Amino acid sequence: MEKVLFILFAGGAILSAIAVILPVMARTPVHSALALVVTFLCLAGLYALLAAHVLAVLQILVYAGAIMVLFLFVIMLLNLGQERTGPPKRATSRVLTSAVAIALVLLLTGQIFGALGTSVGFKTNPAVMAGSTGPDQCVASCLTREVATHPKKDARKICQTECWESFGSLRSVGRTLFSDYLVPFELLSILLLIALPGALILAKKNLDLPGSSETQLSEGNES
Amino acid sequence: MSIPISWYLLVAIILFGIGILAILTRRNVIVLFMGIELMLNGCNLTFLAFSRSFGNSVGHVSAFLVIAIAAAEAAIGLAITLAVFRHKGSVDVNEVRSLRG
Repeated sequence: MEKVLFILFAGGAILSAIAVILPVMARTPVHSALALVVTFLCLAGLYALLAAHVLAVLQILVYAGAIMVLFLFVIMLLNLGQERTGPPKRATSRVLTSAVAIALVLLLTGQIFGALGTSVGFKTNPAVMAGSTGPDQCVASCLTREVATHPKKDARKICQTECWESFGSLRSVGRTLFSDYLVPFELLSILLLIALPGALILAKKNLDLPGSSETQLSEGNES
Repeated sequence: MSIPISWYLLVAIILFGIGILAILTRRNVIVLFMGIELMLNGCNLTFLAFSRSFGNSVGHVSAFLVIAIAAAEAAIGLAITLAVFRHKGSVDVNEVRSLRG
């Protein structure tokens, strides 16, 4: 069952991601945006399979909701029906860029799977997997609670199952986020606070950049 | 965990490669932004896969931060696109060469 879902979500994500970028399948940016929504939804499914339930919900809320609405809003605001781009690129440059992209992917694959200690086979390194006995911090804090009431061996088993079950829940993610990573979280709120007026000012109708008011007037009125 | 982590990593790498391909081949700024979003999502999938493998929720926090930064980036980038479109009348990246790029 898990495998079927994985193949469904992974295949859907990859196919719709290809549909985002292929000019044949997505003639207008609106088509690309709709394919991208499908990609994000499939990725949310993959996150849920990885027991990251909070992130799956956030993915749908923030990406498929907010960011895609922003994209579609801008596309419709600019009224981009057919792409008004110049003459098509030469075949050699297309082949060259595709070759560069494929080389980068192969490099990444080699690096990551080399670091995992295997070739591109689907085995995982036992040394890497040995660390996955359970959420260590959670188990440690749970053990101090449970040892009082249970024998040590039972307590460890109880704690491991409990910690795996709470893995990826709002409680465990929130506990990590608001204890060890509180400063990045607060910095992020400042970043969003800066981005909001920044976007408003950039999108304003008469953007007066200091020092460029003349070119702005002469060229901006034409378009 | 019946599905090995390497499958998730492979999906993440493919998504990242598709994002790179979008940035290298397309010339519409909006599609370029979509390529960036695809790459960020590939990174998020890697974070979550390793997080699951190590049983540690730090990867979830990283993915959370990435999602929030992607939202800020999309807002600013699309606002810049709007300004460029008002100025040039086009969203083709080859048209934007005021900096002699």
